[in-house]
Amino acid sequence: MKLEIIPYQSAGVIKLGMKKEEINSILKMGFRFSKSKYTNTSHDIYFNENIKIEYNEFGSCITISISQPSQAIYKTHDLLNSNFGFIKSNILDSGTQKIYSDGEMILLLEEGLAFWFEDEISETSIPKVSTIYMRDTYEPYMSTFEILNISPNSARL
Amino acid sequence: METPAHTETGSYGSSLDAKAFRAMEEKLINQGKFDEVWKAVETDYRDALNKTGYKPDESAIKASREYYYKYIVPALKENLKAKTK
Repeated sequence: MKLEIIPYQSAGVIKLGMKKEEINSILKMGFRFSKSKYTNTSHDIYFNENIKIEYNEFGSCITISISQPSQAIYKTHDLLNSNFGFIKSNILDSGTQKIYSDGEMILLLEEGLAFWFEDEISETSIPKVSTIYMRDTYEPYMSTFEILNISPNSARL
Repeated sequence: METPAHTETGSYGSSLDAKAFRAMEEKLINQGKFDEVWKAVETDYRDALNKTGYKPDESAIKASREYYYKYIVPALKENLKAKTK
């Protein structure tokens, strides 16, 4: 499934804030439902498309995570085929102030995007997962991130 | 775990609950609770396999546990020691 990303809003036809039932009826595909043991969230994993939709305690969508074979398209770029160096050079807005990292996840609050790389992140790392999210979703965990140098040619990573 | 179950493990991805899972692991590590870390990871692995219809590979779990206690835990202890200095 090819999903056009509009940060803080939608991924294709799936909108942040939509109810689970609505998303289930729109996507009409096989999914597995689970409740989180560590947050008050639940999620559906659409296993054929590798799309994970996460819901808050009221059943409203708070994150949309996309992995291959699906495509996450943002500003014409295929995020799941873009390495971290490319993301920094071509995808970050000029006004971007901070890149947050916890070692395997990158959080871009200005852009409303998050990426997960599975292994240690380098310039050539390609994300396995791209996520869009509601504002303040990661607020409880911000202390676990460090701020990276935003220079596209930075040797920091 | 190179099966479709891999994507259903707790730490996979950048969703809020994956982030919460990794934060929980980090907290336990910082508290030196290495047995609890292993327990959480093994439980999570078994849950992911159950959900996706795969049978846990007991010999792989045993080998991973041995590797964790032989190599990972000592390294984590060293890191922790360095952090608290």
